[in-house]
Amino acid sequence: MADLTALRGRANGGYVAPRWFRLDNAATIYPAARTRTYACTFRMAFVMKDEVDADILRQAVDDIAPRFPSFFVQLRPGLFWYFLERVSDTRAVVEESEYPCHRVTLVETDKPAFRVIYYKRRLGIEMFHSIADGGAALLFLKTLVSRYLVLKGHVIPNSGDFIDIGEKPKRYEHKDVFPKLYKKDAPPLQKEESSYQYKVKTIPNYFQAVHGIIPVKDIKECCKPLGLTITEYFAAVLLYSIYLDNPENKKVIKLSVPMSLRPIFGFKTLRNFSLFTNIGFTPPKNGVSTFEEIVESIRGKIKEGASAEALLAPIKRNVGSAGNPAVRFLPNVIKRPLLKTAYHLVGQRKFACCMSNLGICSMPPEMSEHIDRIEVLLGGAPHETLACAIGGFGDTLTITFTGSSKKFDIPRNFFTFLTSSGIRVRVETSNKEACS
Amino acid sequence: MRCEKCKVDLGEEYKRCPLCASPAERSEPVIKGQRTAEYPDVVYKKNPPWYFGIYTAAALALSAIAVAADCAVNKNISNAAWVVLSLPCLWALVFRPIFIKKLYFGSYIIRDIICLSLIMLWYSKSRLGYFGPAIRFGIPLLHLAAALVIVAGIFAFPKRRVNAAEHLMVLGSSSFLLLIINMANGYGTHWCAAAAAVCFSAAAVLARVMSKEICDKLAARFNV
Repeated sequence: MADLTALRGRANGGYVAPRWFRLDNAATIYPAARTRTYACTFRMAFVMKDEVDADILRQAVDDIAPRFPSFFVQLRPGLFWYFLERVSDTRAVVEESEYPCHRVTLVETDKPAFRVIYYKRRLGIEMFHSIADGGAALLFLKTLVSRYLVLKGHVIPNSGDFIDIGEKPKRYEHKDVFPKLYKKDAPPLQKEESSYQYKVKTIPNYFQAVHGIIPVKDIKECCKPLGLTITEYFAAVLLYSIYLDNPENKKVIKLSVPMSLRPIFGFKTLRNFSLFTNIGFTPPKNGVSTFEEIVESIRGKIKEGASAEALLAPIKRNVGSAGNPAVRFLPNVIKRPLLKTAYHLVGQRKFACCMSNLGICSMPPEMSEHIDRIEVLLGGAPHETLACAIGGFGDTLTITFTGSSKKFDIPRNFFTFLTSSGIRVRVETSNKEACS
Repeated sequence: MRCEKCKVDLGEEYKRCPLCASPAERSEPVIKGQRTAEYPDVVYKKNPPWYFGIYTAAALALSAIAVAADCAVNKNISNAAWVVLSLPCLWALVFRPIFIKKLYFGSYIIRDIICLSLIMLWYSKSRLGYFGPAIRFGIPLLHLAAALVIVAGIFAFPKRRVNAAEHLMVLGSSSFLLLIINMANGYGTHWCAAAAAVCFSAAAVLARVMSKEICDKLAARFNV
């Protein structure tokens, strides 16, 4: 552990960010899994109080670019695997004109593999998942917004909530730390049962988002008597909503809950550093399930899955298989279709829906006064017809359901359950047809 | 606005509830101070035509017609095989360049060479009885031409010099392999030697000018 502490605490010492980066262990799957309809992107956006000024935003992107060399990169094919090459073109700002989480141009371009979007009051980023995970992307977005506000003439003190762009990039920010956590004697991963799949007709190239805006106070009041965390409560409601959609189903219904490993292992990398834990419940063979039964079946499961000991098993599997010489030295042209097939046939069958909770986003009050709320949108997995992401800002939580179907059954079950529990909800959607 | 059926607040301009499609009713929102964050109007776009799929279907249909015609007229398929083999060549030389982006110019040249080399090998063996002409003249000349195009590309796209060096090294190695094959078979080696010399000398000049970038890129390409 001593060397890891040294790595975390090491002073910059003249570190110059490399011209290229290996894909980190969690990022390797995305270039292979990407299809014409599955973009492997996610969106994170702040809804500002005022309309966004595009010229200032462009200037802000230019200003923060040197501080984030691992973000201003583009995917390139290597002989054995893809890699990320730094690009000098920082023209990433575009006015939003497509569906959310639209495909990011990869490989055959010199622009970075993410875009900064703006539309009226919305300012956000849409990022290819190989670059960074939600935690790192949020830090990037907060830094961008702080710079944007500074350029607009506001004074924004940095209380450690975002990155100081005056500093030089740090070596530890660009490290793939998964191999450092690899333990040969970690227990093997238990075989998991496939989950019930929520099936609904999807529309290629179509994507919609439904936001539910909820006061944090209301949700805390609901969680307290049940003794659940906010993530557990929402997971239980989502499982119940999926169950209500098809009460005839007797197969286990599972949710995939991503969790950031930064607070668990104490690293501050700006690459992907998260893993998933799957939680679920099995409907009874006879009779019907109640919400209380679901609550009992998932109670404590997320905490259990997020323990350092439990996480060593998937890390061992992922790092071990990536380090296997047969996989490592397999040429990219062969490895890519094999991984794609494995991902689509096996990897995605273990859960019905993904639910990511980014938590409450902290910010200095001087910055908060210019922001209304945060929105987090998941691109969703290829077989998934629905994904759910939660982000909190100030006293508001925004729950966003995304998917490439026009049906609203599960979000409707979800939000009506919340309102019946006494939680106030405001609903907005990107689908203009559905509300006009 | 509110949906009284779902008991949720809606945006000020919402006419229907997006969850249940019930008409929105004008009433005080229960969550104060929220404004709708608008989305742009998006025009739904179907998947772009799959050019490679269209081409493959057309190529398969043409191949079937050629084989059927050849069988009916000549009672063999040697002419049809020529048509079938020339189709990838047609794709590589005529259709694919339409979609080439300058970044991948060198890669496409190398892919074209692979296609044309296969055609040459087949033609040489089937029409002239042995691989010699293709290995001695055809393929080395292709390498030479490609190397000259890439060298010209260095001046046209100076930012792509690192990529050009990589492509020249690939072509140089392949020319060197042909040189060894020719020597082993007792064929003439001057065209292979010329191609290898052009590729390696151009790559060497580039390596001299920008050795760090090239080493860096090669390390990235070969990273395992």
